Amino acid sequence: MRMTCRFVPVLALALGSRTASAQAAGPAGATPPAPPTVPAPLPLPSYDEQPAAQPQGPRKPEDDVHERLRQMERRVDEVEKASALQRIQWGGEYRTIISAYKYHGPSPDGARGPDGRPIIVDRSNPEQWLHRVRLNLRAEPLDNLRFTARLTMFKRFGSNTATPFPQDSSETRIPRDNGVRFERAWLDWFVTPWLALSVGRISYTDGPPSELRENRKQPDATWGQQMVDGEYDTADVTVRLGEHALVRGFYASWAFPRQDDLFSNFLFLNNGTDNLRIIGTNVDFKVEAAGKLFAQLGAYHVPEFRPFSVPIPSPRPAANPTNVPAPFNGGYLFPSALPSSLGSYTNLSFLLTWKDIAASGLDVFASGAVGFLNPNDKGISYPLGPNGEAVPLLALSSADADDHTTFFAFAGMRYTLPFGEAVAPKLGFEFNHGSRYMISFSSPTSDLTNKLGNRGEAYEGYIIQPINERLFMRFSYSYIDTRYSGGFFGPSAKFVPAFGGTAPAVDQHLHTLSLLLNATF
Amino acid sequence: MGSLLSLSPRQIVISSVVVVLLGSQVALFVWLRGRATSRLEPAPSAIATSSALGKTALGGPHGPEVASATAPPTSSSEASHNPLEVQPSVHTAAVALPARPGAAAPIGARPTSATHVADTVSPQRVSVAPAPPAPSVPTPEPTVASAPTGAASSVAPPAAAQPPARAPEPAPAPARPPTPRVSGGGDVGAGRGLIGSRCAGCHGVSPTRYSRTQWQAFFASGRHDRYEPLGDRVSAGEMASILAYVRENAADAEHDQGAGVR
Repeated sequence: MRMTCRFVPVLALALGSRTASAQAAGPAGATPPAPPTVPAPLPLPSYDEQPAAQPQGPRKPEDDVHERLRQMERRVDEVEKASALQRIQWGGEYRTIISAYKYHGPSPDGARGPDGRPIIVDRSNPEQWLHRVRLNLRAEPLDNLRFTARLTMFKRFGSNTATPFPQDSSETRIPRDNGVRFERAWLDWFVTPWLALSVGRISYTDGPPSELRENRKQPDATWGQQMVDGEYDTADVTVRLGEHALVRGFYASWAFPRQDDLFSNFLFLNNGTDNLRIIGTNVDFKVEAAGKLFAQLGAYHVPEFRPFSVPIPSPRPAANPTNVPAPFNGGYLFPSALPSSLGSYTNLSFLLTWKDIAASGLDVFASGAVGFLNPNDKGISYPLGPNGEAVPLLALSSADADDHTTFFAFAGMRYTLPFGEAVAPKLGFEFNHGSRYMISFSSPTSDLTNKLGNRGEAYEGYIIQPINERLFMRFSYSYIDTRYSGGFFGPSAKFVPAFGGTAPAVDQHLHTLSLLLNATF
Repeated sequence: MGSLLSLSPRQIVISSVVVVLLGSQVALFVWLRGRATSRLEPAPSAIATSSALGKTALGGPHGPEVASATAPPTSSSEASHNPLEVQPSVHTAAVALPARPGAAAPIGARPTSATHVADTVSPQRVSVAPAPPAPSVPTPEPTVASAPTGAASSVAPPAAAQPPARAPEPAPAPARPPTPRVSGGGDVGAGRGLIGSRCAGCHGVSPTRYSRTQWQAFFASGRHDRYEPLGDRVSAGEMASILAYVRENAADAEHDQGAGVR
C-alpha cells in the first residue's frame, strides 16, 4: 500500500514532465527559426478532493489518464487512511474438540473410606464437546514498541459450569462461560536492536515443542514446556547474542491479596503473606543445519515458596439437607494459619528440538528437568483440632521425604509422510515421566488433561491431517498413568501420617480419545 | 546519628533499597533526558531521508496536520524565536518539492504560500526508502537545420536541408525468456539459499513485504517480468522454492511468539 501511494505521485510527476517536454519541443519539421517561446503550462488536473473543471472542447486522450489517476488516488487515500487508523492487527483460531474419557482412580469428590484412603472409582465420559476461540492482537505503534495479546474463549457445548477455584495460571485453560479473557497481554520494548524489555502476561502457554502437536511451524510461547505451560505475569529482559542465540531473564511476583476485603477497602494490603518471587533465565540457540535445530537451557529459583490458601475437604462436613453443591455446602475447610514460607525450590532444564532432519520429514525432541526442593518444617494449618484448633497439615512437596531431588523427562517425535505435500498426514508420539515429588507449572490442554503435570508416565499418539493451509484435523489417544498425587503441597506425614505423605501413591489412570478440527484465520 | 543507629537491620535494608531505587530513577531520568536532547540536535540524515520520501507530498497522516500547525520559518533568526518550532522528539525540516509545470499543490497536502512545506516528523517514524525516480525528460530531437548565412547564401541557391546525422541506434537486446510462473511446491530450505545466491545480487528481498496471498500472486503472474525477465537465470523449480520461502516468512505467516523476539 505504501508503495502504491509513493508510485502515484511519481507517476503524476512523470506525466507532467513528459507532457511539458513534448510541448517545449514544438512540432517536428518546423523550418523557420522561430524565437524560443515558453510554452504555457498544461492545465494539469489537481488531484485533490475537488474534481478538476472539465476542459472545453474535444476530450484529449490524456484526459482519460488523468481521470483514472485521480480516481486511483482517491481510492488509495481511502485505503491509506483506513490502514493508518487500523492500529491493531487481528488474527484468530477456532477449534472444536470431541473427546471421550475413561477414568480409574480416586473418587473426584474426595470421598474416603473407613481406613482414610481414597475410594477408587471407575468413571467414563463418552462424549465431551468443547470449543475454543482465540483472537490474537498485535500493535506496533513505533518501530521499537510492540503490544501482543490473545483473547480466548473456551467452553463446553451447552454448559457454562466452571471450576469453583480457578487458578490464575489457567484462566483460559479450563472451560468456562462464553466470555473472553486475556490469555496473554504484554508489551515489548526493543530498547536497542539487541536488548528488549517485556512486561505483562507473557506467552507461556503451548511453548516448544508443542508446535509439533499443534501443527504449527513456529513456537507459540517464550519458554519450553519443560519449564512452564500456563499463564503467568512476568517481567522479562531479552538480550540477543547474534543471530542464533539469546539470553532471557525473568522475574515473577505472585501476590496474595486479602480474601476478606468484601468492599474493596483494603486493596493495597496483602493477607499477611509476602509475594512469591521467582527468578529465572534461559538461553536459546537456533541453528538451521540439516533441519531446524532449537535448544534451550533454563533455570529458575523460588527463594521463598509461599503458602496458598488451599481449601481441603472437611473431615466433618456440615449438614447439607438440600444437597447444595460444593463449595457452598460447608464441605470445605480453609486455612486458619499460614506460615511465611514453606521452603525454597530450584529447577534446571533443557530442551532440544530438531525438525525436518536432513529433509526427511522427521521431527524429534527431548527435554528434561531436575528440581531441588528444600522444604522447611512448616505447614499450612487448618481448624482440625477437637475444638477447632489450628493443626498444620499441608507442606511443600517432599517435606516428609529423604530425597528432595525431582526429575522430569519429555520426549517425542513426529513424522510427516512423504506424500501429499502441503496436506501430508503427520504421525506423532510423545512420552513424559515425572518423579514422585515433581513440581509442575503446567496446566490442562484443550483436551482437558494435563499429562505434563503428571507424577508417573504419560503416552500419547496422534495423527494430524491437514485439509488446507488454514484447516487441520487431529485424532489423538493418550494414556496417563498416575502413580502419585500431584500439587505443590500435600499432607505431610510428619503432621498427619494417615494421608500417606505429601505425594501419596495412587492407583489412577486415564484413557482419552480426542478428535479436533482447528482453523486459523 | 543516634536515631540512625537505632534502626533495625530490616529498616536499614529497606532504606538502602529506597535510596538505590531513587538513585536509579534519577539516573534513568537523566539518561532519558539526554536521549531526548540528543534527538533535538539537527539530524541531516533524517531530514534528507524525509525529503527523499517526500512525506508531505505523500500525504502522510502526520505531515499536513503538523505542517499547518507550525509555520515554516523564513530564516534562522526567525526560527530561533519561534516557540512552536521545535517540540520534544520531533524535527522540523523544510522540504523542497521538485517543481513541475502546472502543479498547483503537492498531492494530498494543504495549499501553502510557497513550495517549501514544513514537514514535521518523529525520528522514530523515519524509514529509509529509495528516492522517487526523477521524471524522465525526453531529449528533443534536432528538427531544424541551421540556415546558411554569409556570401554563399547569396550566390548559390539554398541547398536542400540535409537530414541531421543520427547516432546509430543500439541494436535491440535479444528478448529474454520470461520468468517462470509458479504457484506452489518448492522447498523452503532451498529457497532460503536461493534468496541469498540468486536474488541478493541485484536487490534485497524481505518476505514480510507482502502477505502470503500477495506473494502467491506475484509469482503466479510473473510479475518480476515488469522489472527483468529471469527465464534464462532461474528455473521453475528454483522459483517455486523461493516462493515457498517467502510464503513461509510472509507478513501474515506464523512467527515466533516469544517475548522480546522479532
